[in-house]
Amino acid sequence: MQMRLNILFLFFIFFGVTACNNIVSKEERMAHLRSSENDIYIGIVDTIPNATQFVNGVKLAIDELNTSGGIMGKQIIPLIYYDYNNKKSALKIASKLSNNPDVIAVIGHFDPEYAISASILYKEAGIVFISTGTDLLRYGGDYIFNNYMHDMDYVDKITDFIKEENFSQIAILNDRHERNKILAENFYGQAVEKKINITFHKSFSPNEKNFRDLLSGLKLEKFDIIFLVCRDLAASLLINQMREMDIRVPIIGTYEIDTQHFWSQTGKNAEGMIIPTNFYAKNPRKLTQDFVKSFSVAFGVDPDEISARGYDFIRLLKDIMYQKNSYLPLILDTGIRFMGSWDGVLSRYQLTRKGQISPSELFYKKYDNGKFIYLKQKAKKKEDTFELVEEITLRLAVNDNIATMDPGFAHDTTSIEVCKQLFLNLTQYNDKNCEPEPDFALSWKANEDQNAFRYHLRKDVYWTNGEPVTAHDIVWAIQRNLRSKPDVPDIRHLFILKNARAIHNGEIKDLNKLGITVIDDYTLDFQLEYPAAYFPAFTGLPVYSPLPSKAIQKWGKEWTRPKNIQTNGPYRLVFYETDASAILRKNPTYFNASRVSIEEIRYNIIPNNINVLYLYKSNQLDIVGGPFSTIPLNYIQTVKKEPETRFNYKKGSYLSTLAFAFNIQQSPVDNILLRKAIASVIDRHFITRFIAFGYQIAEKSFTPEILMSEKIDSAAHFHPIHAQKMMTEAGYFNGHTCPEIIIETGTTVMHQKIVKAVSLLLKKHLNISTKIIDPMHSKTSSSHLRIQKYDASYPDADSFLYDSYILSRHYTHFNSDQISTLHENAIKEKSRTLRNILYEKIDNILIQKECILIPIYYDTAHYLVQSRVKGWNHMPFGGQLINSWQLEEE
Amino acid sequence: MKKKIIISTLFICISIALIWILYYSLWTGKKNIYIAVACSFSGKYKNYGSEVLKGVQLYVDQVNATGGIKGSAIKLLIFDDKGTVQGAVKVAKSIVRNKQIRLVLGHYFSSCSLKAAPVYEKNMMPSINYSATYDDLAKNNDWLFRIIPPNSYQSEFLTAFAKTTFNVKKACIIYDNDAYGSSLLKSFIEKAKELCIDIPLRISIDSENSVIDQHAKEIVQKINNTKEIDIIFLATHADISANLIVQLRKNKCNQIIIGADAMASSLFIDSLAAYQKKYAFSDIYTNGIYSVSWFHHNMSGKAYVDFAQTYKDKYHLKPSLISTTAYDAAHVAISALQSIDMDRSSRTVRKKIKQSLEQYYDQRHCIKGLTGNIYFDTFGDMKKSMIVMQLRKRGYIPEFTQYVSVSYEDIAENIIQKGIDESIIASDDEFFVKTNIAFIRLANVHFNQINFTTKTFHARFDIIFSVKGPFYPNNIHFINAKFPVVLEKPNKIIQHMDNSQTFIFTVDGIFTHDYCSKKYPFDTQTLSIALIDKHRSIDKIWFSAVNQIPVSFQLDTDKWSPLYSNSYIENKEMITDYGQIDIFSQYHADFVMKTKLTSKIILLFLPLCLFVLLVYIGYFIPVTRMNISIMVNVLLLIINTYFHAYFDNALPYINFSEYLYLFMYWCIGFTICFQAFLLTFHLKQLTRTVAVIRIIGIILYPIMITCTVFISYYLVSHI
Repeated sequence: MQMRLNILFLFFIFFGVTACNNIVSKEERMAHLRSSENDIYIGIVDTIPNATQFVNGVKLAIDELNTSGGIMGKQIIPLIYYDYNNKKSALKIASKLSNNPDVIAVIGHFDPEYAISASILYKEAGIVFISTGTDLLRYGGDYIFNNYMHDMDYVDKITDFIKEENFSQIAILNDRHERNKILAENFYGQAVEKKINITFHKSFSPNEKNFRDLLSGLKLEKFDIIFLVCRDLAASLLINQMREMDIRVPIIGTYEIDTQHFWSQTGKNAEGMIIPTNFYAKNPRKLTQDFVKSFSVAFGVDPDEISARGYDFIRLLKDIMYQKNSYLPLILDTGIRFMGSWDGVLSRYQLTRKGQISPSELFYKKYDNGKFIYLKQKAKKKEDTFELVEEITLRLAVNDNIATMDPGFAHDTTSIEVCKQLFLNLTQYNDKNCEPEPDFALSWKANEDQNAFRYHLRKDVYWTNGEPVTAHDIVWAIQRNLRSKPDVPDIRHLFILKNARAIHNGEIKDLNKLGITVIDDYTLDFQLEYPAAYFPAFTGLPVYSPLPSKAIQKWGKEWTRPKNIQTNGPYRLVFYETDASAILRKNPTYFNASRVSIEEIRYNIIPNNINVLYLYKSNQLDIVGGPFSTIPLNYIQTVKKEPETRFNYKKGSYLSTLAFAFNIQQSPVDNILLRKAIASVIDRHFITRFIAFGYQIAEKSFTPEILMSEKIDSAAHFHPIHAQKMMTEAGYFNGHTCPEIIIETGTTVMHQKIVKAVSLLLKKHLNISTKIIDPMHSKTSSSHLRIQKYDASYPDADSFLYDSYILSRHYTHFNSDQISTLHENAIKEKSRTLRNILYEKIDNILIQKECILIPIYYDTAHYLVQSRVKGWNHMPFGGQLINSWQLEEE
Repeated sequence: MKKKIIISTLFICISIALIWILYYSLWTGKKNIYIAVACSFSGKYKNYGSEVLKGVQLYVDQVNATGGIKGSAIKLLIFDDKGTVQGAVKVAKSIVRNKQIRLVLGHYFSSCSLKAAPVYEKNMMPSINYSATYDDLAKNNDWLFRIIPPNSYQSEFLTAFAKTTFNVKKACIIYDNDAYGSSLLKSFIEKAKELCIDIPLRISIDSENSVIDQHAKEIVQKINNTKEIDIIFLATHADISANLIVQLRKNKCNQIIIGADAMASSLFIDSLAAYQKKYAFSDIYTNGIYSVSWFHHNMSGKAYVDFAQTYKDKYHLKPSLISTTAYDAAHVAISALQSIDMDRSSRTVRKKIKQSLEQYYDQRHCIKGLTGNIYFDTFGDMKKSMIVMQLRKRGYIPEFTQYVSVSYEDIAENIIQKGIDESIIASDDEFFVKTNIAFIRLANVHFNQINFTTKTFHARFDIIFSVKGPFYPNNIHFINAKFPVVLEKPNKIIQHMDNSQTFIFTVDGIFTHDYCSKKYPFDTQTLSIALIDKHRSIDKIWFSAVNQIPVSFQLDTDKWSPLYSNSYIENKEMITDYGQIDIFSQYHADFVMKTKLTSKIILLFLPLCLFVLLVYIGYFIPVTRMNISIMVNVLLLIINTYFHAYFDNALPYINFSEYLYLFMYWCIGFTICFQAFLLTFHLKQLTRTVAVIRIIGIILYPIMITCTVFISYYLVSHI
C-alpha cells in the first residue's frame, strides 16, 4: 500500500515538475553533447555552504582532472548550488540543471526525500545522478546511483565489531523514522544470528524531546553498549539526558549522528561515543594519504568523510571517462554499472549493476578526550601489494646490494644489518657499551677456566614455517659454516671452538669431535681451544646464528630467495630485487612480535650518496648515513648547518681508530724519546678541526671509549715544548742532526692529507725533515711511520687491542712480554670491568709507555634521522635494533 | 523649506562619511603586534633597561613609520625584571600569560635569562637575547635565540688570538667565582690545552663577598712569583677588571692582559678612569690590554652611521654598544615577524616565528644588522668573527691583526699549510683567516670646483694609513675618482715602536658625486671619497675608519658651507682578478655640506615675495580700475618669466625653486582670470555678486599662499 502511494506521489511530482519545466530530454542532451564545443558541466548540490567540506572535495578532484588536461580536450566546470534544506529550492535547482544541455552529471542532494524527487527529473533529462539516500534505488532505473553502504552490509559489520570488542549485551534505541526502523530491525536480526544478547529494544517518535521515561525503563536493564539509530537532534538530546541520569555505557551510533551539530550540542557527554564511518584519514593506503595531503595543502583543513566521498565521485567519473574515452551520460551509466569494483580514497568500492556504489570498509571512530581516535586501524593493512605506506614503513638507504642474506656468509655491514633483522643471533650487543645480551640464548655460564660455556636457549622461537628453533639448528649451522666451500668470511671466529680448525682443514673427519655438545633441545655446551672470557661477544656474530637446515638442504644456494627463506627474527623477507630494494615485514611468529612496532622496513639500494641526501631532504627516506649510505664528508658541515637537516643530525662511534704506528726496527725511531717527541707534536685537534671534520678526536686512548669501562688517559698530549726537550734528550738537537723520517701514506685522500699535516707539524715544531712514500705492503718496510685504520672484528677490547697489537707486529716489530702476560690474565678474567682494566694497561703500554701507536681519531658515523623515528640508536657493530624503534605519527 | 532640505541632506552626508571613516578605522583596521621587552628598568641597573629600550624603540619607530608589518603597528610592552632572578621569573610568567605577545626581547643578565628561558620554552614563546653571554643558555632551549656570541666562544677566540699573535706559552687566569667567570675559565682551560698554553696560575675571586683591594697585593705577589707568565686572562666583571688592571700595572705587572666582553663595556672604561684617579696612577697603564667584542664602530658600515645620526637626533646621545645590539635584536625580531602570516592562533604564530628565525643559518642566510651578519647555529647561538680591540687612552681601537670568518670552500685549497702557519684558526666548525687592519683617516680636506652639471668636484686632502705588515699603496683605488688617482710616494712614513707604520699621502684629484638638487636651495649635498684595495680582499686587508674625531673640511666656494662628516666601512662582494667572488673592504668618507644663503638666493626669493604682495594689492583695487591691475599683473607675468629664465639652472628635472616660479605663474594667472570675471560681472551690473566674489578673493588668496608655504616647508624637510 505504502509503495503504491509512493509511486502515485512520485508520478504526481513528475507530472507537476514536467508540466511547469521545460527540461532537456535525454535524446536532445546526447545529440547536443555529441556536437557541442562547450565545456562540460557537473552539478554539485550541497545543503548549506561551508557546513561540510563536500564542495571542496569535489573541487579538488575537478581541479586535478582539469590540470591533467580535462577530458577529450574539454574542461569540466562545476555548477555549485545549495538547497538550504528546502524542498522547493532543491527541485528548482534540479530543474535548472536538467535544463542545461551541457550538464552530464549531478552529485549531491543529501536529503533522501529531495533526492528521490530530483532523481526523477535527472533520469528524464539523461543526467547521471549520484546521491546518498538509501531509498534512491527503490524504484530503480538508469542514471541513478546510490552511494551508501548497503544496510545489511552495514549492520553486519557493526555487529561483527561489537562481537570483536567483546560487548555481550546490547540495548537498541531507534526513532520511528521509516528508514531507521528498518535499520534497527536489520540490526536486531543480525545480532540474534550472531548470538549477541539484546536486552532492550525500544523506539521513540522522531520529534520526541523528553526521553526520561524511556531511559528510566532502560536503567533497569543490564547492557554494556547501546546501539542508537536516530537523527542527530534527537541523539544529542537523548545522550545529554542519558548522561544526566548517569547511564554511562558506550554508545554506538550511525552516520546520521555524525554531524557538527551533534558534536557541538553533546560536547563532553559524547565521550566514548563510537561512530562507524567509511573514511579513515590515516588509512595506510597511498590513495588515501595522497588525498589527505593534497586536500590539506589546498584548503588548509583536514578532509572529512563527505569530502572524500565527493572526491571519489569525480574520480570515479574520470576513470570511466578515460576508460571509455567518452563523457556521454549514457556511456558513463553503463560504465559504472559494469565496473565491478574500484579503488577510491575512502576504500575499495563495490559497484553493482543496480546502481549501488558502496565503499567496502567501515572504520570506527571513538570520541575520546575531545578528539577522535580510530579503533582497529592496523588490522586493515593489505599484504598482497608492495604499495609504500609511509606511516608504517621505515625507509632506509643502503649503497650496495645485499651481498647475502645467509648469516653464515654475512660479513659486510649491509648484510649483517639485514641478517640481524631476519635472524636471531645467540647473543646481541648492547648499543651503549657493546656488552653481549640475550637474544636466542637466554643465559650462559662459563666454567672456572673460562674455556667451556653452557648456553640456555629460548623455547619460544620458531621458524616462519612454524617449526621450533633448537640447539640442533645451531650445531648444524656451525658445522655447515666450518665445512662450507668457499670458506665463510668469518671462519676464523669459529676456530676458537675445540677442533674447529682441524675439522675445517680436514684433519679431523669426525664432526662429533667439534667442541659443541647438545645437552637437550634448548641447552648447548661449547668447549674452547683456550680460555676466552669474551666468548659471549663472539656468539653475537652471525656466523654463530642458527640456520634452517631443511630449507638449506632443499633449496641449496637458492634458499635465501623470498619464496624459500625461513627466518626466525623480528622481520621476514617479502621482496628483494637487486639494484632496487628489499622489503622486510614484521614476523608474526617472532617470539616478541607484540613488542615490534614498525610494520615494514624498506632498504632502498641507492649507490649515489648525493641522491640519498636529496631523497632524505624530500622526505622519502627516514634514515641515511652510518655505514650503510655514508654522508659525503664535504656535506657534513652543510648538513649540520641547514635548518632542514641540522636538528636531525646524529652521530655515533664505530669500533675503529685511525693511528700512526712506529717501525721500531728503524733508526732513529727505535729511540723511545724521539718517538715520544714525535707523538707530542702531532696535534690531533688540528687534524680534526682542519682535515677530519666531525671525527671524534682520540685524545685519551687508542681503544674506542665505548669498549672501555673507565675513563682512561694514556695518550700523549700535544706539547711542542716538551717534545723539543725530549728530542734534545734523545740526542738530536733542534732536529738538525735527526735523519729524515719516512712516512708511509694512506690510500684515501683524507689519510694522505693527515700524513701531509703530520709532516708539516714535524718540520714546524721539531725541525725534522720527512719523506712521504706510497704505502708498502711488503713485510720489510723501510719506513719509520705508517698510517693505518684499526678495526675490531667483534665488539670487545680483546679484538680491538690484542688483535691490533698482534696484527701490526709485523710492521712495528714490537714484542712485549708484559702485554702477553696481561693478555693471558685478561682472557681468564670473568668480570668485564676487571678485564677492561687489564686491557687499559695494554693500551697504556702501546700508547704511552712504549709509544708504538699514535691514535688520531675514532671513526665516527654520521646520520640523519627523521624526527618521526623514535628510539633510534646507533649500533657500532652493524645490525641495528630496529625491533625496538617506533614510528611516530606527526 | 528648501534650506531645511539642504541642511538635512548635508547632515546626512556628513554622518554617512563619519560612519564610513569610523567603520574603516575600527573594524577593518589591523590589530597591533605586541613585542615584549624584558629588562631591568628600575633599581641599580635601570640604565641598562633604558639603553636597551632606546635601541629597540628606534627600530620599531622606523618600521611603524613605513607602515608597520603588513599594515599592523608594532607595540612594545615593557616588563621590568629589576635585574633579579625572582623578578625575571615573575615577568616571564606574566609575559606568557599574555596571548597577544608574539616574542620577547630579553633579558639583560645571564642569571635572569637562565631562569626565565625555561618558562618561555615551556609556553612556546620565542625569545631573542642581546646581552646574556652565559654558555649553555641557548643550548638546551629550542625557543631562545641569541644574537651575540657566548662566553666560551669569546674566550676561545681570544685565546686563539693570543696564541697566534703573541705566541703565548704560559698564562695566568684570574676568574670570578660566579657563572660568568667559571664558564670563561672552563673554555679558556680547554682551548689553552688544545693550543698548548700552560696555565700555572689560576686565581679565583669571590666578587660578591670580598674586597678586591685587599686581594690585589696577594695576586700581584703570586704573579710575580710565577716565572715566565706571558699573559693574564681576566675572567672578571667590568668593575673588578678595571680595579685589577690599575693595581697590576701599578705594581709593575706588565704582562699582556686580555678579557672578554665585560672588559669591552663602557662601564669598564669609566671604572678604569675612576680607579686611576683613586690610586693616583697616571702612568701608561693601557698598553697591552686587549678585549673582544662583536662590534666596533670603527669597522661599522653606513647603516650604523645613519643609525647613530638618528639616535643622536632623537636622544641627543651617542649610541652605546648595548643599544646598538638591542636595535639589531629588534631588527631580527621584526624580520622574522615580517616573513610570516599573522592571522593564526598565537601558538601557531609563535611556532612560525621560531621556524622563521631558524632560517637564518649562515653568512648567506642572515640578517644584515649593524653588528654584522646575524644568523644562528643549531643551538640558536650566534657565532661569528669577533673584533679584537686594544685599549688606548680614549677607549678601545681595533687591533692590527684580526681574524675574519671565511667559508671552507674559500680556503680548502691550502688549508693545511695555512693552518699550520696559524694564518687560519678554527673554532667550533668555523674558520677564521688572519687579516691585517689598515686604519684610514683623512686630514686637511679641501674641496672646490663643485660642478653640478658634470657632477664632479675637485678635492685635495691628506690620507693617512696606519698599518702593520705589508701595505701596497699602488693597490689603492679611489672608487669615485673621475681620473685614476695613484698613491705613489708617501709624503711621510712614520715608524712606530710596535712595528706599525704610518703612511701619509696627499691626494689631489677630480671625483664624481651624486648630486640631487630637488630641494635646491634648501638642500644638503654629500661629497664622498671611497676607496678600496682592488687586489686584496678582506682576508688580507680590512679597513678601519678612524672616526673618534670627525674630520673637518674646507670648501673653497661661497655657495656651500660645511655641515658634518663621517666615515665608515662597507664590505662589498666583488669579482677578483681570478674570477672568484670575494669580499672586499671599502672605506668611505662622507662630507655633508649645505647651501649658503647667497645674494643669488636672495635675488631668487625677493622678487617672488614682491610679486606675491603686488598681486595681492590688485585684489583691493576698485572694480572700476580693475583693468589697470590686470595690466600690472600681465607685466608681472612677463617679469616672472624673465626671472625664471634667468635663474634656470638647466637641470633635467624641476627643482624646488622652479616649483615656486610655476606656482607664481599660477597665482598671477589665477588673479588675472579672477579680475576678468569681476570685470564681466561688473559690466553686467551684478553689484552684489561682485562684492561677494571680491571678499572671497581677498580671503582666499592669502590662505592659498600660506598653505603653499606650509606645504613647501613640509616637502623641504621630508623629501
